[in-house]
Amino acid sequence: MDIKLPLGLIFTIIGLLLVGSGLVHAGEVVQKLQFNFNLWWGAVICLFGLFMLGLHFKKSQKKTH
Amino acid sequence: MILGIFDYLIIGVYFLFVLGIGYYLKNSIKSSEDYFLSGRSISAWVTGLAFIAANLGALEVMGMVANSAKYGILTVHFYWIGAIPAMVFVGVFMMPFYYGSRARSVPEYLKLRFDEKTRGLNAISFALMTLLMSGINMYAMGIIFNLLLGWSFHLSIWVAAGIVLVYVFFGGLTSSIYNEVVQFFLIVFGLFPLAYLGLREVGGWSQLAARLPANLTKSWSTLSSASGNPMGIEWFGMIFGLGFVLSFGYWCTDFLVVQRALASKNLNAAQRTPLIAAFPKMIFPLFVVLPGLLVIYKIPAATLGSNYNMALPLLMKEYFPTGLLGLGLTALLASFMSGMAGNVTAFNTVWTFDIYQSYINPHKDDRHYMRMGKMTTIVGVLASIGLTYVVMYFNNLMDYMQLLFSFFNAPLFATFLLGMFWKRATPNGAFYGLVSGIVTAACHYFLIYKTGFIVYGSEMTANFYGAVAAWTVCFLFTILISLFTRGRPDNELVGLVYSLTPKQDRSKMPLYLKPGFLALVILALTLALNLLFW
Repeated sequence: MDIKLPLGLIFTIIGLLLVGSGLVHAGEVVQKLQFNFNLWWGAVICLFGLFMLGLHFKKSQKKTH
Repeated sequence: MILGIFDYLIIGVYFLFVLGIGYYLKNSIKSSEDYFLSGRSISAWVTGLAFIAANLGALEVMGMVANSAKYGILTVHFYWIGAIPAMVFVGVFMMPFYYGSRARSVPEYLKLRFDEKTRGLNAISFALMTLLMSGINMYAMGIIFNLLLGWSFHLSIWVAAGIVLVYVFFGGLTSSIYNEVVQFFLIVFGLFPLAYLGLREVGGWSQLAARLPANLTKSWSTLSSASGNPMGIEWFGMIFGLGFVLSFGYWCTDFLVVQRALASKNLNAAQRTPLIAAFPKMIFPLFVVLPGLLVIYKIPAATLGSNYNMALPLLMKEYFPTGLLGLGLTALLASFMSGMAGNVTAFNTVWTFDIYQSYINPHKDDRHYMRMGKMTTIVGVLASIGLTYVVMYFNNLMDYMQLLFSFFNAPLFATFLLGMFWKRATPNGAFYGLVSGIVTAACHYFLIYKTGFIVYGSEMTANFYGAVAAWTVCFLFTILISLFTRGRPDNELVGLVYSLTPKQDRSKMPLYLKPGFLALVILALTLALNLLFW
């Protein structure tokens, strides 16, 4: 199993959850940190996850061809 | 601390994935080499991240934050002096013998190079200590999550151990390595916000440094004397005790980390493993030392008290809202569980090959040893849980563990140094030299330090000098005894000793893949960091 697949999946999901917490609890987050850090950091983690998934599928395509 | 739904969801996703990875990998385990060494098939970037993650247990992460909260920026020495040079050394100079010899474990290398009794001494001591570390790891996890979240101590131990058991039983070392890579990124994503949010609040590094006592923010200029810094150590003890003996003793001989490199797909990948690991290791002070300094600034002394180990969780509570808190705690949980998994995989390998196969039941087929490895995983996890309860009753064992490791690791490094680079080192020289080093370490601690015969600036300083003494005695005795005893013939040492091993032709390799080039880049960057924070 290519590690990029589970790595990509877990961090995409965790990133989305963090973004979700930033949306649902926006008031609490902004009160504590003066800006919605959860939203931004969740997006960064999600992008990392998607990047890993992209590398995995690119590698899978190369193997097929 | 109260967790919200998003925090629990993040923890739940982590549990689901670690179990899923282990279960998915079970069909790829077809031999003992697959189970114990991942079939020697893993890419360098994966083994590199697993190499550093195996070292980044939660006790290490929390301990380093606690250290920084207590001693300030001097803690960077555990990274820039106390790790990087040793990681470079093991990659460039030692991995050709570890990997090239096809030894399945560190004790097995000792058997190939020297003899059974040297292997036995290392195998038995390592097996016991690694299990005890696993127990200590789980005990600390149970206590911390009970204190932070009110989770049942017993339930959290059994649930975490159960999850580790499932994924290691099914997926072996590969499962452990893959989960360590997940753990690595969880730590980066979970701890970077602490550094960022804290520095943002203070107004940057120079503002933070201005608010702290000067001797907490300079890494070298306070080391001219023991009284000039809170660690009570001077530069000689720091460089030779920590930077040479203890650091090399751990990174070059501890099977828990070396095993990750042995899982690499070829020698070049094995050599690059610790070198790749050195890059994140270099910047790790950002995730642990900086938060420790922020603790001094942010957390009132009355709140922290003498309980420095709670520094990291308290800082998370200060800065992390719901969601981010779940991420930070998942990073800690992952570190605890990976720590246990790493210890169990190292234990089951050493038990199966170096104890069971060597002394109890040799000459069985490969399937037998693979089954033994799986059974040992169950026994190892149960033994770890048992030791957790032992530590509960004797919790000063935690304080002694690092000391115990240094008793064995410091002289072991001398044994390896001579074994790999001096073909004249004999089996009797190695064994009796090692024993003399261990005895020296113990005598130094109990008869010299504890009695006050020599007064050191701190217990840490005493341990550094004890390690130097143990290494020196082992080194000298090994040479002396070797000169008067018979060694192994040259033809048995090919691939095990520097002078008898053909050098690899790397002329066609791209520069950025050459271990020597990577090593120079790493050392140059580390030097720059030391100068920047002088």
